[in-house]
Amino acid sequence: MKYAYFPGCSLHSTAKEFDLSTRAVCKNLDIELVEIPDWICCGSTPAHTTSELLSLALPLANCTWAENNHLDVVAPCASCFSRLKIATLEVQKDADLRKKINTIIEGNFEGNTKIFHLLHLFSNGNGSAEKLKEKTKRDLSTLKVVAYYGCLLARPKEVAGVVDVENPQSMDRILNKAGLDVLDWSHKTECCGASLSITDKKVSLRLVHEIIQTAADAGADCIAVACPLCQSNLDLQQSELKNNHGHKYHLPIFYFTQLMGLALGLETNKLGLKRLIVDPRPLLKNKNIIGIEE
Amino acid sequence: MKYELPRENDQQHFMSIIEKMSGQNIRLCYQCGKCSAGCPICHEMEDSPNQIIRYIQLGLKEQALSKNTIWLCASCQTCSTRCPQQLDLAKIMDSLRILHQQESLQQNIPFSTSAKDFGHRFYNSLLNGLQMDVRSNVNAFSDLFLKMVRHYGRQFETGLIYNYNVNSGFLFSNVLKGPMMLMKAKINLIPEDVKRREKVEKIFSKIEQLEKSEKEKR
Amino acid sequence: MARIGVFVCWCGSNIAENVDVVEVARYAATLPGVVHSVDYKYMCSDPGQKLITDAIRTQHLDGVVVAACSPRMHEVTYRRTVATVGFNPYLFEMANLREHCSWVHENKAEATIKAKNLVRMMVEKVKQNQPLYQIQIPVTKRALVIGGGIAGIQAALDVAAGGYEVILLEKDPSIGGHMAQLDETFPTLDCSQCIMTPRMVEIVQNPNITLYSYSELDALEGYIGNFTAKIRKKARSVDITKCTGCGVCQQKCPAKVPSEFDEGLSTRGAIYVPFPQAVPNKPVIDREHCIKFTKGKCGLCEKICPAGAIDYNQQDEIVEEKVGAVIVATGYDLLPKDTYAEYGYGQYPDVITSLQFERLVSASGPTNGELKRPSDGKIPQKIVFIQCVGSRDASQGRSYCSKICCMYTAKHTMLYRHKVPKGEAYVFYMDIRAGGKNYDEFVRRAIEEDKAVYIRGRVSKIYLQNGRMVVRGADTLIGGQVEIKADMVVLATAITAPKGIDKFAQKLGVGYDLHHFLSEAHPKLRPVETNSAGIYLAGACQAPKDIPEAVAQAGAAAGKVLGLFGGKNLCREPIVAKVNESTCIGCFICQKACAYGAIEMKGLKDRKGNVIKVVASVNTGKCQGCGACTATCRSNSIELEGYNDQQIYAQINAIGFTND
Repeated sequence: MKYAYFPGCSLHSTAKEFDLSTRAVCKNLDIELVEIPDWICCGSTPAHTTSELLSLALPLANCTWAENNHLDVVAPCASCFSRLKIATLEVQKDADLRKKINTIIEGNFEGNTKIFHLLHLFSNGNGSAEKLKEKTKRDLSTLKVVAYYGCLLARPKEVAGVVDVENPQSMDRILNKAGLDVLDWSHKTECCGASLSITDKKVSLRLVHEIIQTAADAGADCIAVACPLCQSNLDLQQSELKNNHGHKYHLPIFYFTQLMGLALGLETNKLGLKRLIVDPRPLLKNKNIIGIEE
Repeated sequence: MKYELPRENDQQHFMSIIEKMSGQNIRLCYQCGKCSAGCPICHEMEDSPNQIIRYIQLGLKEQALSKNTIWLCASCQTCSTRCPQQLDLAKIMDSLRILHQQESLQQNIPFSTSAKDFGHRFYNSLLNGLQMDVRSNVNAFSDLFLKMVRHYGRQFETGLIYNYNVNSGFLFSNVLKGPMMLMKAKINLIPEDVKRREKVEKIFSKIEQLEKSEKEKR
Repeated sequence: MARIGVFVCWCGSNIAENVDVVEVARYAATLPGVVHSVDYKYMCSDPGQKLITDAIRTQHLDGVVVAACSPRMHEVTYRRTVATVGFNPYLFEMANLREHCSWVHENKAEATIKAKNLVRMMVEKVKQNQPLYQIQIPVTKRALVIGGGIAGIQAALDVAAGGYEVILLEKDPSIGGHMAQLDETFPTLDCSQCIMTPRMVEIVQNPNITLYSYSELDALEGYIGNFTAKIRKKARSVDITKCTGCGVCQQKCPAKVPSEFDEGLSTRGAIYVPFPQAVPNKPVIDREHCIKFTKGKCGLCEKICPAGAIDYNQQDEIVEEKVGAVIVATGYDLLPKDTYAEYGYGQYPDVITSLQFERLVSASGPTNGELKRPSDGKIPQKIVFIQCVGSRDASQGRSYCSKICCMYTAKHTMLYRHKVPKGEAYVFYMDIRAGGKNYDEFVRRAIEEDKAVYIRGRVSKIYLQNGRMVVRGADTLIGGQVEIKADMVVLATAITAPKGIDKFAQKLGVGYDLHHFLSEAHPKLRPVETNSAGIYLAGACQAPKDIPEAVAQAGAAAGKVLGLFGGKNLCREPIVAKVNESTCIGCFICQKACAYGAIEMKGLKDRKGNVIKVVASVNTGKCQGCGACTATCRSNSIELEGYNDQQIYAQINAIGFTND
């Protein structure tokens, strides 16, 4: 299996560990990722709240390369994925719009390339999930985790490609296959307010608090995410909850690929565990998942 | 409170404009409030999402555009997903923001790429002590975000945050996290090198021209 | 030479506003064969009708064309009019200047031209008309009522009171339907059981009524006045002639099955009587859950039955009943509570449906009327009621209002406060629809006296916080979000048509709408009839209804049946197909085209009685006059009376001819 890989800005900066663990896990499961050469930013929320054309042109400038090389695109960042998918859907629906965008990006995008989120790769019946189960080397069954999808991996339905927007299952299933103790909880798809973390911090802090609190109440040791914006919001702001909401939490916020990598027995330094702000190593050591020296 | 209602069958009626921009039939809304009920940010909003839709239905443009609601919307789509009438509220919020930006004087957020220039502006803002609201924060952030992309082709978080802080007046907000993030190698001190920078610039300028001519046509 | 009269109606301004009616009447007078032409403001009124009858007499007309509204509206009216002066009603035709012309065009000049064309076509047609005479059909004066809920019970009692025999069919082991499950009823708070059970008893006591419980309709054949119903009496596995109803069997049965009557809040045995007041009060074995049937073991009930009434070998029995009319009263279902993901998919045991709430407060319910919540049996101190769950929700494919939820929710808040005086009741609503006698007063009483807190808005989500349910909704009147920690949540889930009712309706030849509610013949003027003659509707099978409405409609349907049975024979329209036996080649393609099974085979015999030819023959009782057969006939041997080829060609030719 071979895909065009669109890491997006976050995976080259704040979410390097997502990039690292994605590459490591995919390599282990024989999924080949070819990074789109000279990719550019997808425009994210600022583009679609400013100009519809911009929100289509930036993603499609990247998809064109994949289409020319007959590859489907995989994006680990939920926001990039959503923007890329929406852009392809929009131009599939409207031929005039497609022509307009093609003039702007000076390319010829037909709309044939499919856009996947990284989660889809392991849950679309291509055998990766089974392979994961077979190749599992570390026992993670003592690790209680909740899967947090946030907004863009669940909504809108036709973009996210989920069966059930209120209770998505793809990450739960992968973590299950990886051998974790996956708990049911109520805030799977509640918004964490990452897009407001800079512009109106007190709002995003309140939302982070709600999510962390419900996860802790559900009995989770940690939270698994599949979006770099959610991750940095939940991870970075956690320490501030003590000052603002009077609660101290220590819930590591893993990328789901890091947990997959752990299950596959990959070396911890290849998964970027050290980069997480809420250090997960004490928890993992405590559960005898990694050794004292790691 | 008392409102003068504009003529409903006017083509320039606010509802018609938003319907055209968003592709949504605003009349579908029967004001059940499920959007507001599920909105994660309703607590902080001056008016709840269903009230914004009500303003649109009645053509009360000033009311709809002046509230912090449209700027606090995080585009999380909970409202759109659960709306019994299948209205895409998130899209309507986008349209309101775009309309606001088109109609207000384009505020030009200064933006620096050189250390010298940056230091100069840092000093100035210390003197002046800017204070802004959510609307200008979101506008400033969006504007700077896109300027960064336009300039570098990719996001350059360090530059974005520092430029934003200088402009928003929250001088030291998020700054304390800087060293921690640097230590964890989470952010870069220098922007990534994208070879297609001119191409990105071309995309932006073409869209600017297109939208300008479309606006004039209207 | 024909002597035709043309009567152009203004329909007030309905036609006259958009068609120059005076000009149309003037033009009609110039048409060959037309000897009389007038216009009038309301032709259907008494003076208007008199214009027609006077002209028939004085002008010696042999054809009448009324240019007015759709024949669906007033054809019958004018046929009666002309018949009063001995004129054959089938020598009269209508030109539709309203629905087909004035209402659908904007340009008056062009509409006037079209109106003239329509009149001209009908003038040409009526020249070809022949007198036709109504068909007399004998009627079997017995009625079949399908469904033994309150609507079916009422309809059966009313028809029986008219002195006719009634067959009442119920698919469940007992009659009673949903009403038997209810506690107290709005707007009077009288006990449902107290007013219902005497009627159930009356059903078995009435000598005119035959009850088939635990029975289903396999097929319905025939036509108005002459139906044959094939009824499947499902094997009860209990000989009810021997059974004394002592109840020992159901007490000892080791199987545990969720009780349908208690909406899953209690269990019953595999051999069971659905509820203590059931009619008939005899048990039935649910073979799907019976250990004897599933595993071949047990047989306990047979051993302990003092009357020896258990019969594991009983088979389904098919009986045929001849009836003249059918009343469909198949009722409704509730949307299951697991439809809404955001309300927990039915995972939370204390999120219940309104019908479950009825069972929890009912004295005959699983808690003997003590309001204990399902999860832990505690008495809920705070209940949130959510209305419009699945109703008025286009995203769920149901845009209709379920009509009764506003009222029963108000009732629930009262019942709750009467049982738990310190309890708090919150109701999320979109609109309060209380348009019935003493209904709005009832809702106000819930709010003002019984202190229900009404919140105008929908609920977005129910979630658990430290094991307690949190209901997150909006109050659109204050413009904000509200959260209520609730001990129990009651969902007013939508009323839906019963599953599979579409297939059942097809079996009967009755139409249904998008949501599978059965269709009445006309929403205002024929609300209890269907488009299949002789089949009537009662109760919630047609649309969501409360008890008073269901009972009223049942009475109306019974009235229709009594009207049908009151006459000697049934008269019906002579617009039926007619076979030319000499040219018919007996290919029977027409039989395949006929949706009503009206084409039969007929052997033509010589003098010695030998069959020399088999031809098609029309059963005029079944034929609905649709004309499908005439279009398929290759030898042109089958024609529709009143719409034969000459008549249709005359109209078509008239389109080409214009003197404008």
